[in-house]
Amino acid sequence: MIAKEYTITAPQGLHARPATTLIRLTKSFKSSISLKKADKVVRLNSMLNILSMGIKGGENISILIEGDDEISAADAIDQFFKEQLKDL
Amino acid sequence: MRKYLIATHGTFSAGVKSSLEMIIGITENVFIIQAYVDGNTVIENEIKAVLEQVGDNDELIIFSDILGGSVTNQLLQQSVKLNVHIVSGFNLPLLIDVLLSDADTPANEVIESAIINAKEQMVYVNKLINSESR
Repeated sequence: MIAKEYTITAPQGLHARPATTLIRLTKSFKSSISLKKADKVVRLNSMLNILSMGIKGGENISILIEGDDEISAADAIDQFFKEQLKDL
Repeated sequence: MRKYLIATHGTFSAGVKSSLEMIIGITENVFIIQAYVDGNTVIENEIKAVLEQVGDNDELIIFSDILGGSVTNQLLQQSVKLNVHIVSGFNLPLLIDVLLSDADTPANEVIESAIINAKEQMVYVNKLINSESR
């Protein structure tokens, strides 16, 4: 399993559009991918799961990836949080 | 293939589709019915036109605006088939959750899960903020 921590770079946090982009991204991998904030963990298979976490800009979250393609999934998610998210 | 129909009184469905496209991008296989905007009092032909585009191997998930309303009632009269699912009283979060769902997950599971999540989106935010600030 791969676990990575990120700080949310989008000032408005993980709102509807970035959450949707993230769901579309995770759907392209077979691995089971979850998001963790504090003690709460949700599967990244639903935009509403992400929105229910109320993730604001500047907050820290973790992404947990487990499966056959976890390395390529981790690379794609890394790019999302480090490069894409700030513009969404 | 899974197909979708948003059917509402007036232009609500077109507006919702516009919001969907803004959030999740261009959506394929999403039909809309804007009931009664042409002055007609029935939407039989509009429903037929959509159903003609749904094959036996397709599934159609219909989102209607009001349970007990005339749009939902007409959909029920014309669309009761095994491969057609009708959800009334939809909101935008529900639509997004269903449209982004995994096509391999059975439609009934997708719908039931999305309804649970989407209900949680209807919140009196002032009350929420007050309870969190205490």
